Amino acid sequence: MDLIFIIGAGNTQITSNPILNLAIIYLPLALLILYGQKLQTWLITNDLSKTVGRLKEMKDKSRDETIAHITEGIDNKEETIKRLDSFLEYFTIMPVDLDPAGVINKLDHIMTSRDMRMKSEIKQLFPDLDELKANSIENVIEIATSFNFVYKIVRHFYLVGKKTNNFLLLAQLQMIIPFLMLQADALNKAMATFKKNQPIGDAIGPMIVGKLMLEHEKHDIAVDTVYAESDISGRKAILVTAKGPAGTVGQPGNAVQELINKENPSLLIMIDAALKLEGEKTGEVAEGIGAAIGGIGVDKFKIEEAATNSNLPVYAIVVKQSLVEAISLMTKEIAESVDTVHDIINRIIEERTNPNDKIIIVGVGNTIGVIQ
Amino acid sequence: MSLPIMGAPDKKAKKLTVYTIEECVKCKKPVKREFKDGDLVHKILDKCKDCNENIMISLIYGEEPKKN
Repeated sequence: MDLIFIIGAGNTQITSNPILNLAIIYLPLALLILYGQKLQTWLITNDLSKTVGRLKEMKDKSRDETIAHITEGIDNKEETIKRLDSFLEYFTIMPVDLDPAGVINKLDHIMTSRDMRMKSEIKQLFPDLDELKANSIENVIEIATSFNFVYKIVRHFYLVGKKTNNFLLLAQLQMIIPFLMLQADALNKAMATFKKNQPIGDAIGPMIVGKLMLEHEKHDIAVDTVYAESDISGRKAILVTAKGPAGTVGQPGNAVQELINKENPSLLIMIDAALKLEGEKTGEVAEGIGAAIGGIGVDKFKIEEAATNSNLPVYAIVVKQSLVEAISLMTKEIAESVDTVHDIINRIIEERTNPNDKIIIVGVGNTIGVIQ
Repeated sequence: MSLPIMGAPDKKAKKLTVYTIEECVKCKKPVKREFKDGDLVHKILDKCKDCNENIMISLIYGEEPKKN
């Protein structure tokens, strides 16, 4: 009854004056029909403008923090800042995939060249730095570059949408903005952690395998990647992870490929951090089958290829966490999963292999703040 | 990392305090203290007063400070 009265349907009217009824009900209705989308566009543009401003503030803050971190105790600050600004604009051109055969090798080559160039430029800029600090600088610059990239992409779509008055473009941007802000928040938190060389959530794989490697001789096997041999329940365990405590993921693909060809193992176990689904608990451990490794796919491809050629079963153990947790300071729930994963490794080895078998155990992830 | 699925933004972000857990490699007695610059997981520190074995940093993690 109230609703009928309000919208003025039927015989019920707001006032007895028909002209006033028209002004109150039908005029706004007509205006909303004619200009509703314009009004919505204006509201979305306003909302986006605030978000773009916030992103800019965060990006500028990350640049300032990067400058403060890398120019600590350096005389020629101006030259360093100039070089940093050029680092922030670095880009990587992905290989053409119209003919996909061999694209992984091209991708591998491009990404390796990119990493090498970054490392050599940092070495050139700061020749006296130790490896830990140089890696910390590399990681912090990468975070600032990512921030710069996210900001520029968001600003691009915002300005194009505004310029062309494109409601759909602006609405789509508004819909994905919360997720981009989540990424920005994660980068913001990662910056502080990488500066202090504290372990991040993604370091759980190297931490679990690194603990098994303690007191065993380590050998280099690929760029920033080490392996050690150990005995677990009478089996020869070959433990592989990135070389800590500097922040690097190493090249587990090359390392595992080489070890599979050389050692002919009977089982491959991979331990990694996995992004949890909403509702799942942080630090929850899950088991599965397949190569547990992220990234752009080069390492995953190499491991899958080598495992398939050798008919080698690949077991995966993952520790669940959110995107923010994966790249910022490791939380208690994640850190305390170490013993649970060790128990699972022991159980898998005892159930699925025989004494004297060879097993490769890989700890995948960024090894920042973790010694092996 | 695997499974690149993004969760919903967490608006109630918590401020974490960083703790270092020191543990004797033999008697496994854990000591919890606040993080200091230079702390690294699996770094060997002093000798244990009880058994004279190495004390090692076993964990470094962030935790919400307890409300009094």
